[in-house]
This record gives sequence, C-alpha cells and structure tokens, in this order.
Amino acid sequence: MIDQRLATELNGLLGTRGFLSAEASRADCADRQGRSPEAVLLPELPSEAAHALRLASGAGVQVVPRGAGTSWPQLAYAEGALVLGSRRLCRLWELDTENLTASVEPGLGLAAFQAAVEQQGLFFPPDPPNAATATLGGAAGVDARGPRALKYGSVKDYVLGLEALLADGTRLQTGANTVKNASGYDLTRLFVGARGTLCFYTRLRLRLLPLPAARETLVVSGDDLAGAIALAEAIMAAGLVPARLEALDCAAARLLGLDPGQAPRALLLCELDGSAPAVAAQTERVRRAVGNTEVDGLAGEQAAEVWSRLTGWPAVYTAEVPRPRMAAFFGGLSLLPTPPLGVSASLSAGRVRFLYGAGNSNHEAAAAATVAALRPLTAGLNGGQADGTAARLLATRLKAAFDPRGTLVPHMALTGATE
Amino acid sequence: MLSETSKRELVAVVGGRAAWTDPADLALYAYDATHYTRTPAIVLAPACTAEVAAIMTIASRERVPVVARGAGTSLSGSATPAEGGIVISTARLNRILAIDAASMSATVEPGVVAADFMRAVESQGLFYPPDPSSQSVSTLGGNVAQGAGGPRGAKYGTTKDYVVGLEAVLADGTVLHCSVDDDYDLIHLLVGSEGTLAVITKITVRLLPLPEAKQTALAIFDSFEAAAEAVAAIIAAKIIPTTLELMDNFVVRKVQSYRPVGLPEDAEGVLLMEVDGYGAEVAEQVEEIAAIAKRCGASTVKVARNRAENDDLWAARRAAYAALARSRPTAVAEDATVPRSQLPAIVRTIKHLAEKYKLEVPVLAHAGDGNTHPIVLCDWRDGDEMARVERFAGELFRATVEMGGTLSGEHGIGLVKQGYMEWQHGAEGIAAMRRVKQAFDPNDLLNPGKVLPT
Repeated sequence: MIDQRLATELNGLLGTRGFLSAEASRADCADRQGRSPEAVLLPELPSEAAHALRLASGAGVQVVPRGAGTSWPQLAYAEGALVLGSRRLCRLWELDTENLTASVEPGLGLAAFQAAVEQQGLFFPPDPPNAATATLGGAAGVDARGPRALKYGSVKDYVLGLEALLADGTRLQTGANTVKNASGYDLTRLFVGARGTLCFYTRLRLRLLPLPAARETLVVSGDDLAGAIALAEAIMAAGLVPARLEALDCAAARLLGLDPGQAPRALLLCELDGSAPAVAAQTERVRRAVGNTEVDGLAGEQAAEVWSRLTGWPAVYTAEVPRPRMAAFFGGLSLLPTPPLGVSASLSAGRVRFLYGAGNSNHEAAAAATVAALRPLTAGLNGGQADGTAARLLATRLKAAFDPRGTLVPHMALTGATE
Repeated sequence: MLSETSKRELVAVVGGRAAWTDPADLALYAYDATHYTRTPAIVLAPACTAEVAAIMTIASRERVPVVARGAGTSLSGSATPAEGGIVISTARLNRILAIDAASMSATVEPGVVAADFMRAVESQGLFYPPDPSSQSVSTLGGNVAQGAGGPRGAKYGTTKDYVVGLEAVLADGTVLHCSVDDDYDLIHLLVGSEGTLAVITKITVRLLPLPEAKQTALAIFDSFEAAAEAVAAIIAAKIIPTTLELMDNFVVRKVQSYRPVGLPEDAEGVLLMEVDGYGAEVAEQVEEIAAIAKRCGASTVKVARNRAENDDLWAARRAAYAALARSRPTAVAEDATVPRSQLPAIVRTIKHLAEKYKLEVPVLAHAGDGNTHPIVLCDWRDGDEMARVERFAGELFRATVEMGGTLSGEHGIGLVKQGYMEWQHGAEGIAAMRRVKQAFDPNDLLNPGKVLPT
C-alpha cells in the first residue's frame, strides 16, 4: 500500500487528470488476474514524471512504466506497485524532413506517428502486431518488430537518442541527432528493449527513411506450408530481401479473403519495395527464382488490405522461429493435438502465428495444448548452445547499477540468477 | 607492475613464439595512428579464447591493465597500450569461422582483416557494408571495438548495425556469450566500447545480398556552399546514395600536387557520389543525382560509364589522406559529426577556427551523414602548434555539440576526446556510463583511462 502522504503528494503534483486512484486504476489497467496498481500516474511533462519517480523511489514504492499496455498480456502487478503511464506525454515535437529525423514523446501512438510521417513522404518501418494500439515508448521498450524486420530491422535501429529518467528521477540524455555516433557507451541501445527496467523515456529521437516509391505484393502458390517455405528460401537465395515474406496455410489464406485454389494448399505472400525500377527488377528475380510456380500480383489496395488484416489477426499463440529454422520447425508440426484454424509463418519477422479465432474457450484450450506440444520444438531455437550464464549475471549487475533499489518494473523478473 | 614470475606465467599461456618482452619488440606496439606513445611490459598473441581467458585471469589477479590490439590503426588513441601493461594482439585470432549464405551471417575471429573478410563474403554474392578507410589493414575486432564506419554509412550505417553476436572475455577471465536474445543489449554495449569492457574473441555479423550494380559520379563546384547544397537537394529528392564524399579546395590542391587526377586547382568543392542497387534503378538514380548537382551549380559532372572510369573518379578521394598526411609530420584526423543540414555551418566553423588558430585544416566529409573529417596538419614536436590544435579541437567540439552533433561519428573517443565527453553527455550521462564500466570491469583493468573523462 502506498501511504496517504505519498498519495496526497502525487495527487498534488499531477492533478486529477494525472493521478488515478486505486479505484480508477482497476478500470484503467487491471491485469489478467484482476490485480491492479495502487495508483496510475499520468504526467503531462517530463519534469512531472521525474518528480513522481523521485517521490516513489524515495518512498521505496515500485513503479511499472506503461504505454498502451498492449505488449504484456502476462503482466502481473506486484503488491503496492504504481503505474507510470506515458499516454499524456504524447507530443510530436519535430518532424525534420531535411535530416530525416523526428522527435517524439513516448505516449504518441505508433500508428498516428506513422501516418504523420508518411504524409511527408517519409517512412518509419517497424510494424509490430499491435501497431494499431501501441505507443512509440512501448514499442521502444520491447524493441518491437514485425514482418518488415528482415529488411528494415526493429525499433532499435531507428532510435538515435533518448531523454530518459532513471529510477531515482535523474534526467539523462543519450545519443545525438546524427545517424552516426561513436561517442562512449551506447546507452540508447541498452535502454531500448530493456522493457522499462532501466529507465522511463520522456523523449525519443527517431531516424526516418524516404518512403519507398513503389510496392508490389506477389502471391506465389505452394503445395503446402513446407512447400511455400521452400519457395521463400529460393527467393532469398536469389539475393533478394523482400520487405515482407509470409507463408500462409490454406485456412489462413481463406481467413484473409485470399483464394488458395483447389490443388495448391498454401500461399506465399512476398512484398517488394523500393524505387519503381528496383521493384520491377526484384519482381523479375522472384519469377525466375520460383521457376514454374504460378505467381500473381495483388492490386495495391487489396495488398494493403491483406497485409493489414494479417498483421492485426488475433493469434492465440506466437512462436519466435528464426528464418533458417523455419523449415525444420514445420517438420514437427504434425504433432499438434488440435489443428489450428490457420497458420501464418512470417519468414521476414522470424515468427509463426497460430490463428484459432478469438473468444472461444475451446480455442483457448486448443491453444494451450499447442503451446505445450510446441515447447520442445521452440526450446533453444534462438540461442543455440552458447552458455548464457555470464550474460545473465551481467544483466543483473547492470540492473543493480542503474536501479539499485529495484524501483522499476519489479514484476518483470530478469532471467538471470542473483549474484 | 608485472613481476617476472607473472611474465613467465603469461608466456607459458601462449608459448614463447607468441610473446614479446624485448624493448625493441615492445616499441613496435607502443603506439597507434595517433601521436601517443606508451610502452607495454609484454605483448601476447593468444591463439584461442581459452588463452585469452587465461591471460585475463592472471592480469586480474595481478591487477595489471590490458589493452587488446588489432592492427593499431585507431585514430583516437584507443589502441595505445597502458604503460607497463599487457597488450593482447589478435594477430593469431584471424580465422573466418563460417560464412553462411542461407542465414546471411558470418562468424569470424577478431583478427581478420576487414578487407579480406569483405572479399570473402563478396565471392559468395554477399555484402558486408562497413568500409572504414583503414579496411586493408584494420581488423574486424578493431572495427567492432571502435564502432567503425566509412563512406557507405549514409545508406548502410556503421559496424554497430551489423553485429548480431559476440563472444568476449571479461576482465576476470569469464567467457561471455552475447546474443540478440539477452535480457539487455550487451552486444551494443561492447560495440564501440573501445576495449574498455571486454576482450572480443568472436564476432557474428549479418550480411546483405551483394548489390547488382553500382555507379559513380563526380561533380565539381566553384563554391563549397553549392556542393553542400547539392547534398541537401539529393536527400530532399529522397535518394540516399551509398556515398556522398565531399572534398574542399585545400584537399583538391594537395591531391593534385601529390598525384594529378585531373581536378581543376580552383575547384572549391568536389562531390563524389555513388549509388548502388538494381541495374535499372542505379542507371536512373545516377542520372538524377547528376542533374541535381548541375542544378545546384556544378561546373562539371562526370558519370562513370565503366569500371575503369569509376576507379578514375575515386582516385582523388583514395589519394586524399596520403596526400594530406605527407605534407606535414602530423595529421590529426577529427570526425565531428552533425545533423546533415548543419554541414555548411560546421564547415564554416572549421574554416573560421583554422584561421583563428593559424592552422592548415583541409576538410573531407562523408556528407550524406554529416560526418566531417577536418584533417589538422601540424607537427607534434612543435609545442605551440599542438597547443593551438588542442584549442581548435575544443572549440570545434563545442560547436558540434551545440548543433546537436556528436564528438565522434566513427573514430571513437579514446584518449583524444575524453576531456570533452561531458559536453555531449552531461554529468548524468557520464555517471551512467561509469555504472556500465563498473558493472563490467570493477577494477578498471581493461584499456584504463580511455573513453570516460579521467
């Protein structure tokens, strides 16, 4: 429990719009188990956020940084924790079309930002599954990535610098307003992806790209999912890096309104982007790479619609599977106790999603069974055999160095052992 | 101080033929590409990770500083040894362990020479973009430690954008494996840490497909400002060339007198531009940037039609550093980097400061990413001149930071710029970096006295 005095102080600092009591918090951001924080703090200014953190950490209270709350369905609040939310820190400070950079506050929505950027003919590529609701701060916190990751990387690749608050409220500036920077330790990349355990962002300096002049989505027919994946590998082996590359089984294709036809039972979606001649050249290469296989183009609007539905499709279970392991992974899929409604394998994101359809308890049970069945297949897919002991120990030391009182996101246990 | 017993113990780790203690040998390792000199007590060339770990265990027990060294081409003093310390040379850790076309990645030991690696991957149709000018001698371990960049940075970024896995030995001899799945991004703490956090023993990088085509154009301007304007106009046209190299009149004259390459002596700005990608795309883009250069007032624009012409256009840029370096005993290469749009302003500042401090400062720039290379020509034996160089640098860095830039785009901080770090990062930023150092190397054994202000 936070004591009355702290509550009064925080309330006085943040006002009624910036301080949600325990009662209001429950409605705002309860976790799946129905637990909610003691209060939600919604500062409007970085200085308010700093002051609030100073008060909370001074009182030994734990603080959970939060954007839109879309990334952590598994989030569980510790007893007595506060949420420090970014949603009123949501200004777009600067969109610099000369330097191709932007300066934003963490609570700005990813989708709104991308729309603003595209209006200027610019491009902010990260496209995580929750893009429609996520905030930029949240996306940076988890270093979000989506189907464009293969060609364009993750959020981390676009953060040039941060203004951030350490757990005790210390304000810090990292990086520079330049694309190249070799000055000291890269705190920017340490903080991006740290899931709010090291700092709370108050501003992000982002790098932008020119919006590709042309885009083309090709649909390649495969015999089955394994066949579609083999075609994807053939495309990659031809020296192409598609913007997005996704294999869909028959059912997933139908869910998206695509017709996989009779004989072929899977489709490969391959998006190419760049200048118009570059897209033409890539299209030609794809056709050559897949040999006699049928290749269709999707009309621009239909392509946009399919990609957007695919990205937003509720997946009950998502497995992170690196592209080179994808074929092997599907070799073991026959083990699934309950066949999913559909399977989509993003080779460009390194992610397989099992689509069961939402809200049905049978599907939830099927999903749980799937997770259990897949565990042996997914274990060790990413790390290989390397010993991570030293890395875990260092993470623990870094956490202690930046947040000695354990103020920030105490619910998220690091995988490391204690020293 | 390293005792004779410890020295014998260290020699035993790597064998007598991979250890040097003779003063004549030690002198060869006493410096890097800066003018600093410090003599180590012993130089060791381990052949495997276990040997590096054994060296670190002894060093940490004896509390003796250790500096890892690739080819010693650091322009910031990062590879200068610690006086009386241990130098770990990566000369024998020089194997390319794997190039995997399927996963588009490669794993190497740190002593592999950058250009050798680039050639090896290119022979398989793959591409490793970071291209520091020192590539024909500098090692990948050094490139990773410094976060090295190069002319291709505008389009392809720098070394930090390609490292996806590392193996390193910590100060206490523990072997650390970092992957992209770690809780915290240890990879990017190590990249650019200049050997102050760990000794890198294996590097995994991601690769790209080799671009199908590239083409080069060279534009000559009567005013430097016009050349800088052309850079801005190209970016505004949404073209990001692989390379946008800018040379001022000073560089042009030095190059012409060193190795005539057919540049007019009165050229105030020369812009070397390269685009890469698919054939048709490249052909279209090179014409587009040539037209933009003309619109911005270029007196001459040459577009290379074949490889030989391409090499001709590059000749001036390739000769530039040698032409400058031979003209005075010392060439201090700075790499102040600013937001691209501030390039004309920072170049004006450089010219102004050069005049103020009576120094010769030709300017090269990777203009596409705002990375300037003012080359201060001087003589390290002339105390008065070196003092002026120091003051020049101080004012330049002040201006750089005020423009939202960074002290270093690609050379690192080392011994040269640590005194200015607080201007860029603030006292809080420096304190945060010290926490990182403390977490990795609590006894300050790895490359002590570098990067952070002393």
